[in-house]
Amino acid sequence: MSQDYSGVALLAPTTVGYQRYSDHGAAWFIGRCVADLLAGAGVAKDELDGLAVSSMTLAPDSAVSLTEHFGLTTRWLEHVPMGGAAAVVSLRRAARAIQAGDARVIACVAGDTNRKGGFRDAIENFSVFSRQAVYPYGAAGPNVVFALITRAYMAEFGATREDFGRICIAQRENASHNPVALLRDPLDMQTYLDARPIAEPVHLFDCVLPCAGAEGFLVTSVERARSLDVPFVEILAVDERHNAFPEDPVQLRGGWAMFRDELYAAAGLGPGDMNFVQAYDDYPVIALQQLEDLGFCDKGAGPEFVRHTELTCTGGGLPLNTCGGQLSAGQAGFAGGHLGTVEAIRQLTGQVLGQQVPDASVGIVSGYGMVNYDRCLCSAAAILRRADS
Amino acid sequence: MTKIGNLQLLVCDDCGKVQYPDREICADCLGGTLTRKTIDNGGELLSWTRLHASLEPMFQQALPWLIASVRLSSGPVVVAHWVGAEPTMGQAVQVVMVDDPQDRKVLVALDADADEKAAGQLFVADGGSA
Repeated sequence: MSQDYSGVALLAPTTVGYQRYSDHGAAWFIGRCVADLLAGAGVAKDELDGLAVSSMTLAPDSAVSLTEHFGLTTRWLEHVPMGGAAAVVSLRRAARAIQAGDARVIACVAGDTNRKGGFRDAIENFSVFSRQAVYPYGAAGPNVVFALITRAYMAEFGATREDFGRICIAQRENASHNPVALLRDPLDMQTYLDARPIAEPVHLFDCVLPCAGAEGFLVTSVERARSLDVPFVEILAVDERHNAFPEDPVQLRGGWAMFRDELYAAAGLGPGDMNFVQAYDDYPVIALQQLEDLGFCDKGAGPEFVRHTELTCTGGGLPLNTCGGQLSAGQAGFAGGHLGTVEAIRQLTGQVLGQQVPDASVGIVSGYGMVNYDRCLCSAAAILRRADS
Repeated sequence: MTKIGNLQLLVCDDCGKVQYPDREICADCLGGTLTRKTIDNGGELLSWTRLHASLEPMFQQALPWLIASVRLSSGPVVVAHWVGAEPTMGQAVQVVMVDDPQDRKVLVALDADADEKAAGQLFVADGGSA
């Protein structure tokens, strides 16, 4: 079986930022993240021989440019342009490189800046298809795409705005304990419902706040991690799918539904064993779909599930996006995709910025990225476990 | 009043599959020769949104703005401007093409029984959607 990620350690969860706007380039956020990663793990810069980078605003540079910029000489280099799925994809690739001996210590980093006025250009030119077939329709980027998905999901499965509100409110409660989250004020249902419409049925609190920042973690061997004497987590299972279910007229499910049975089987665990879920939350409808497609409830039962499940860190239910997620922490470009993986490592190694999920020993993180036309194409998920010290 | 054009999309010379968005390679057979043809413009409304925020002045001045997604009877899903009263999920629609103020050929969806001339009013001042 291909599902054997033993011997690989994830460590040093690192967050840089967040700032609403910045005059720095993406390289600054990524570089500071690499510096903090190395310092956090006690690894010398010269030992870092692998780098995986995800960034939206680094162009025209890539991971290649950063080796020169940062004075790094690596024997393994990945540029992972998969947005919200890049962290899980990066850790999967890095794990194989560690197992194969192609690299010893790999930094997986996503970072982006957010310059005033820079958002429009990024949205207009996100992909060839979206420039041609989405942007001319209202010039509103992903808000249009996800409004269309949200309304279709509501019509198909009977979801209400309150159901999405429950996710946003629980994540805001989680964010209220996280000092780097940009949105920490309590959110109540009436305020959520009364928010101004952006692209109906999507309203203000269904949208992430674009910002600047970086998220990263290190991947190395369990042996090296033990010698560093820092807490680490292991990968029980990880998988990815790209352009899953292309025949679906509207994206009401993601690629997770294709591989989740194998994922849990490889981990020897089920959804009920997960102490938390870090789900990609560019819009709450997508978080809701992940709860379904990752097996926490049946397809279409997500709305009912969130009506009866406590989603905060300490409520005894299923903690969801325990640092607040992008909906409350902010979306630092592609770093938004690394947020969940970094938070999962934090929870499992006792290095949280906000609230700790009590006794967290195993959790699932899922990624979702790249709205090429009318849906996101990349889905990925990993089951991670706290390593025995 | 903007001229109303037939719905013309790329069709694979090899397998006949209708493609959208425009592309260079057929998503069905990987054929590399695609020809623009007039195709059946009927379809079913999949979803819609009323937009209240835009990055472009031409829409900002006209907000709110209706946008629909449509599954064409020929297969592809298209995102289109919507003209007419608030749409109903699943309703039968027609899709036509017009030139927008930036000279882009864009799709306009409207009720299957509506007069397609209404699509020509979309980018005329005060003639947009509500």
